[in-house]
Amino acid sequence: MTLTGSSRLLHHPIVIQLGEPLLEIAGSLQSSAVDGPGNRYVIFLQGCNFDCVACHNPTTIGRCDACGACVDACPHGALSFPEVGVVAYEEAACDHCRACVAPCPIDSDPAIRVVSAETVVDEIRGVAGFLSGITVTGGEPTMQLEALVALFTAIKADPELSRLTTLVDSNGTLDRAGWERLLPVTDGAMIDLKAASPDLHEHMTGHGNEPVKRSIELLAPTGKLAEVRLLVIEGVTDTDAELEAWAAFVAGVDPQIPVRVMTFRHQGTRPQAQEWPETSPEAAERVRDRLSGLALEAVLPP
Amino acid sequence: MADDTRNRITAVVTAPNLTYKQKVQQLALLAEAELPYPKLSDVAEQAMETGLVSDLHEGPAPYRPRYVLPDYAVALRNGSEYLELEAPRDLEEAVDLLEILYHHVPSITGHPVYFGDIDTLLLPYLDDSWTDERLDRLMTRFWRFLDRTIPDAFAHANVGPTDNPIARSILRVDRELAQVVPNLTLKWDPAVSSDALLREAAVSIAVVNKPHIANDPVIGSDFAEGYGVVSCYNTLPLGGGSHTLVRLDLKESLAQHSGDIDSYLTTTLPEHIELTFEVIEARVRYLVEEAGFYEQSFLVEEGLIHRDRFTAMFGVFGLAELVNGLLGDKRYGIDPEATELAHRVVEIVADLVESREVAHCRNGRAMLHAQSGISEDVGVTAGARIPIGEEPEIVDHVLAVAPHHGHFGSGISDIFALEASVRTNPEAIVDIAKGAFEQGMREITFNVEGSDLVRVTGYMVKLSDIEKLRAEGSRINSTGLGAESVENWGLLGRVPRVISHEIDPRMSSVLE
Repeated sequence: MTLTGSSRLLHHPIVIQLGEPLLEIAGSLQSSAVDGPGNRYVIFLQGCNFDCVACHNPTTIGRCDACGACVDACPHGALSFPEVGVVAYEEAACDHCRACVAPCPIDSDPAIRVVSAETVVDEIRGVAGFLSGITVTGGEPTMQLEALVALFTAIKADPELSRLTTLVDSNGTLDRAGWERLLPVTDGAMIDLKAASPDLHEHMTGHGNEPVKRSIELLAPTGKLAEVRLLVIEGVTDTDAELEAWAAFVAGVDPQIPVRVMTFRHQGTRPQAQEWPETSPEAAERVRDRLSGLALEAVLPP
Repeated sequence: MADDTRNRITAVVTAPNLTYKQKVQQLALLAEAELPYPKLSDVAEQAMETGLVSDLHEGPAPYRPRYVLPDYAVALRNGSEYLELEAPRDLEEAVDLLEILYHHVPSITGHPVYFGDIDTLLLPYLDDSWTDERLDRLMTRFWRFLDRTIPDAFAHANVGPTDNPIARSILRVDRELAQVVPNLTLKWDPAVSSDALLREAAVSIAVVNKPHIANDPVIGSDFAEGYGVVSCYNTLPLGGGSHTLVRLDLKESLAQHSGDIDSYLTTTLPEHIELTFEVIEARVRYLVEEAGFYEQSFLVEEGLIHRDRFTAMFGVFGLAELVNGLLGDKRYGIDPEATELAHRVVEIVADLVESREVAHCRNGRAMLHAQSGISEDVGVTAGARIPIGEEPEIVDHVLAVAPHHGHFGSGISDIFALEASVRTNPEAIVDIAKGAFEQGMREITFNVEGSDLVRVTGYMVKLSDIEKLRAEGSRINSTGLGAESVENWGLLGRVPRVISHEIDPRMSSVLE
């Protein structure tokens, strides 16, 4: 079992792992065409050290600290307190009514699976013939670094699965030592740079962007920076000054870095995010054109 | 002549939205309908009346096979004495010969359903003078000719399994033109085709929802003489075809059963299968022994088709309603118990079809087919498919239906809906197709959301054509069928996961 510090700290919380590292999984998809090249198995890990206003999976942000507020809220008896410091979730009893989510003070989802890398590898093996690879997202997947490294290592060591590419979809807060652990078993990282201006980044995510920029600088020369993403919030992240600063930073690292322009959608977001409009196709096109005009040479098509 | 018949003829003659040729075809059907049906037992006649067994409005006096797959290579090699044509000397003459031949190939729709394995047929004529650009221009002319002169979306071209310049050109041109005709299948063999060819096909699928992809080594092993994929994904012997297609409605079969699951499987189902065979055999005998098609056709005389390569198709549909009805509280595709029962039913049907001798058929046997429905079907699911709206996630969906595929020798189509996002990631289509084939699926079809060219049932229609249909009529025969299907199945209002379909010869969407 994993014990963590506050989920609101920017830097990775102190994690005490006893024995084999386990993955805390908020959900997974057998098949996705939108999380990297080809058809991919997607794993959403629980817990994020950012608190993005626009987060479309806000219940993956908090990592459960076993306060127990959810246990009595469950009408199906799927949650229990088997021992101090542990909230146990029984998947078979759950009917996914989500009644457990509202009472949580830290936007955590108690309905998570805590499983070994080997369990996940077995599940992937059953559908591997349909896949180009695996993408781990979240939450912030690198917060579960040891378990993530164990998962990717197991995939790369399996003769049937080693052809699958391993991607992480990350907020870029992992430090150099962490990337050095992860990169040998990772084929690519997709990094969100929510804003170039520190103040705007703070507003968007609750934190500064220095660690994110450092990750981009570190990853680019390795050839494993699969893409850097910009989420377009009209009137917020697509102002002239912001786009110029964003492009100047990324092009300054390497103008060939693949850049993906992401559109904002209300689905899944919290009420405060819904005051922003969803991104129109025209606005996304405008941002793509603008970034291409600002010396970025690999702006990806929609 | 009965007043009713007179009124129907008048309706066709005066219909404002049928072309001259469409009227001629409808008048022929009305004339044939005046003839008596081949002699059936009382109980088989009753099965036809209740819809338990249906010949899909083929008509009471079959005078041409339902599907004809000429071996066009014979004519390319020898020319045609009947058509007074020499063997072609170059690529353009070869295309000319094919275009001429198509006009002499009958089928149930009045148009050919099979244009041949185009790249295999034409490759012997490809020399160094043919750049990709010049080839694309020729294929564009060829494709325009097909779409404008053979206005029926059941007409089907095949390419593959080798990766070659003509297959590549056809995939490029086909997605550029985005025509309803021809429908297109890529035969794919992992040992022969390149991954790059499958990727090229995936790029086309992302744009125009074709080609359909056939698992060449699996299907090919059932046809020593070669095969073609025609009409709504029927796999049939090359140089032959199918005399007829008669289908058994499994939903209706259950409605006519009283008793438990075991008595259904051991008594009622075999009885209903035998009734279907009675209708099949009566039709085949009429076609072969009375109408004499195989004695009259120059295609037989010149060796493009051989009577002993014609099978008969034994169609089933409504498997989902049968299984769900037998179990009561379990759903096919969702509950493993129901999916297992579906597999068991198909095994039983396949064994009975395999063991029954049928007169005048290839190897003395009919071939099982998962029949994809016709436009008038309401409340019953096509073939062996999982009902629209109840399909599991795509991988689970493949795993649920793949065990059926080995049993349906003359074709089974499962159509998988993909979100529009695959347009920027066609590699995902490649992955899913490969995974499906690894599971033993014979063939796979994708429908990508948001295309104008959509697969309504197996054949293609343009949504923009449907909008225009009632006001103006359509140049393409099958658009009428598409319109009816779209309305009956609510296709436009839901995830584009669709039912396949053969034909509605009565053009009821226009005439009624």
